[in-house]
Amino acid sequence: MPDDIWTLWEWRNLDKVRAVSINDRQLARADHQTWFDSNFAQMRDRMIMVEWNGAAVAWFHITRFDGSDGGWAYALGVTSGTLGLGALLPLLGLGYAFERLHARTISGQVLDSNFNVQSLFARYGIPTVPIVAEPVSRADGSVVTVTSYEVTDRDWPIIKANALRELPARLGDLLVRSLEAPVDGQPARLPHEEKVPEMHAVETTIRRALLDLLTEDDIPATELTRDSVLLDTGLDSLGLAVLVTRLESTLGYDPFAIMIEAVYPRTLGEFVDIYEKYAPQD
Amino acid sequence: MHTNATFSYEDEDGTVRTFADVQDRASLLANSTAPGSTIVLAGATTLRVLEALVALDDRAGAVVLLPDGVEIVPEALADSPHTLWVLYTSGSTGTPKPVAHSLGSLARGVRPHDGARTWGLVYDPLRLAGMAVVLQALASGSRLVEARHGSIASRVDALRAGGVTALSATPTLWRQILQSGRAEGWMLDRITLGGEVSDQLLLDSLAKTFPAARVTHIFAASETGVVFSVGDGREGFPASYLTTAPRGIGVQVREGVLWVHSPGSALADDDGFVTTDDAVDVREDRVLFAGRLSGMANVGGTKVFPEQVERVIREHPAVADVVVTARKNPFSGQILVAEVEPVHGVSIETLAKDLRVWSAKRMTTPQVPAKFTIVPELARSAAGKVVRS
Repeated sequence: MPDDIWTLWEWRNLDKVRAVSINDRQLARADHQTWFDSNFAQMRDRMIMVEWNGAAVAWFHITRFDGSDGGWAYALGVTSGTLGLGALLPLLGLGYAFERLHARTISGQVLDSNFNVQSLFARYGIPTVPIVAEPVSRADGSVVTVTSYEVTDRDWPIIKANALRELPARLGDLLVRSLEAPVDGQPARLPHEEKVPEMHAVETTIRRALLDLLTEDDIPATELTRDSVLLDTGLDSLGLAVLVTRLESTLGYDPFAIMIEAVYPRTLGEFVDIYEKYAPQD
Repeated sequence: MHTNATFSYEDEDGTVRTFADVQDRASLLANSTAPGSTIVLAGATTLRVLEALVALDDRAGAVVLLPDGVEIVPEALADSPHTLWVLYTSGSTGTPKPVAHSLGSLARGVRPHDGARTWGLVYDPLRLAGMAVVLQALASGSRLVEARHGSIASRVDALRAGGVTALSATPTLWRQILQSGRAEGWMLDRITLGGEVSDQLLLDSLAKTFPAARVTHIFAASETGVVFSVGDGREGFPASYLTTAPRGIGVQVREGVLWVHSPGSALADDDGFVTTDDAVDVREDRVLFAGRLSGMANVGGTKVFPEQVERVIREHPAVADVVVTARKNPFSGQILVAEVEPVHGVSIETLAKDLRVWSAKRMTTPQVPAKFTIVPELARSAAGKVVRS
């Protein structure tokens, strides 16, 4: 889409995007155009826009790709109501690189101050490169450090499995389209679309915590539905106690501590409903 | 009380006071104190405490040692033939409470003939533990070097630079000292632990790092003034103490709880015994501490002591220290959670998960914390204990 280039320009200049970017300088419109033209003309860089329910919400960027090795970056743009998208983007970006471009290694850098992404990468098992962090100077003159990550095609299946466990099984109508630079004056085209089903963030988090707990306790995982009886999943009441304690730190609240009249959920669905009912309203 | 003229004191700025200096200042203090009056030393420096100890016993009616942050003053003090020295409990089990002592009872654990050495002061001298160090140094004619502020590494450096060979600290502080990377080659000959339970792992590490030191751990029921110490390098104390009183102090285990003989205490029962609120296990020839009764948790109907769980987790090589606390839980009544300070430089990526597996192999299910939080540093009180919130 021709407008995507300017959406991208707006996003790159957002404070929240610049705060986590390696280069945090404001970008002039003309410079953006120049950067775009020079980087994408050779198809060495690919910029992928991610749409959510019909609106562009994020992008990822495969850089300096030589057919085997390349770099990557990603960020959320202007979004609303897209919980869990930040956790999805590494999967989309790396998936694109390894499964569509058949990359061998993909490397990237994350500011050490970007704790959210650092911890996400750690959970996914994205390997860090054990080199001394190079200082990066910021627009305000300060100097920060970054951690480098490098993923090989052998790491990818593990990362993918880790990430899929964290992700909602049903995410809204999520469209991924590749925005490729105009070549020979032709407008950008949409090479593919992907649909990801929707699920609410709370339920995802609960399922993930429950599965983690079952795995840790060596309990063979059965298929979990909303009708699954909690005590039949292999968890005893102590296991449920552990689950509630962990969810309190992940979700930030304990509905059972808030509720006035005690309710003891029997099924996973009832359990999820309680968490959704007592979710703090922002 | 016995004092020794070879005593000297070096403060944190490096200023040295001889015993004669302290006596000079003390005589000024004595002259300005009306006999029988109550003196309040609020947030006093070690030097002020030393002056008071030299000048005020048998002169003041009472000396109240009020630590920083404590604002309560006892309303009325009982008439006493001797000067009352009022110290506050550390408040680790509630609000700090004033307890009146005689100087003789405060100095009960002091060994005047232990020899002149250099003692480090890392405790607040207004508290019982710090007072014990000050009195030991005064009585034995030792040098006293203070290092109470700053990072643990800088404090160890200061103590070593001051020539300290004898040190009394909490198990929490000792763990920090061992972790500081500054303790190697430090020729300590006296090590005292108190204020918290000393576990075998720590006693062994101290013995290994400081092979020349005599390591003693102290049990003090601060509200009764009862103190006894154990110096055989093993955690807990010999079960023989239950039949043969250590230094004349009667000790009993009643329904798993330690009681001490303190007939003068207001809390004493008809037999003159007072509960310490410490749960203990008697195992063969040894009495081992399980934990504080006040901290005991009920997890799904099983009684668990956070301290016991901490002891097991501390054995993990990547753990520098840990604090385990109980939380309310709808499904199990209570549940334990752990905060872990990792050993400097270890990878923490999978530590929380590793610790859960490790714990599950070594403890019963109710003892295993539901959650391990890795923190850069545990909260520690001014008294050098981990904070249980």
